[in-house]
Amino acid sequence: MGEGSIRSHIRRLRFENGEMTQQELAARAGCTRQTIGALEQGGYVPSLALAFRIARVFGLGIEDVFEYEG
Amino acid sequence: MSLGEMSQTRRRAWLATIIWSVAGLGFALTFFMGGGPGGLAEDSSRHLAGAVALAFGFLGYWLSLWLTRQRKGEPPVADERDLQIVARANQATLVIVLVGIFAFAITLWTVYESAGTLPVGWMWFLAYGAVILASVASGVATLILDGRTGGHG
Repeated sequence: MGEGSIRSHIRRLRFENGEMTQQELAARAGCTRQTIGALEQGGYVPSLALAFRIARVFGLGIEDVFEYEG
Repeated sequence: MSLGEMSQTRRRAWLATIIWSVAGLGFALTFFMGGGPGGLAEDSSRHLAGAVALAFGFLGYWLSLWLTRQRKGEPPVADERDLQIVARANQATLVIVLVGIFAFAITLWTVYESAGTLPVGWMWFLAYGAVILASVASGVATLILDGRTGGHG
């Protein structure tokens, strides 16, 4: 069975939230700026805990931030 | 990308690769320029030079860990992605070292099979070389895996 992939809307959401920087989002979500960059580029699939923390920063549900492309 | 923009994992991997490559070069020069495995058992100066190369590698590596440590008040310098990269790099390093030692041992076997004995200096080379190979391989594997996950955006 294929793994599918996860697409994130982080870049768009950052700009919709006052042009939040990657560093700012990283600090609020408790990860590194490089991980935010990797998520935006689709190179890294986050753990559930990190996905929830990022969604919480934007005040959204996890499915509003990440999309499963199976 | 400047050193300051890199993640802690990437910075450490670069430093480890450079430090251990220098140590490996010093070790190889000591071993081969001094006559290879022949006469190594009686040559204490080459033993010392090899130990110095290894000490340089370990001390340099520990110093790099200290220099790139998490400082108070700083945002997180490592997270789950870094742990994943390091874990996968360790797996790759294990395979590289196993293959390296196997290939080296089989080569010795092939070369010295008919003689029935081999210069004991090769054992010294294998012991020190395995440490250096593991350290360089770990750094390089970390850099490759970090690059693949696209953490530079």
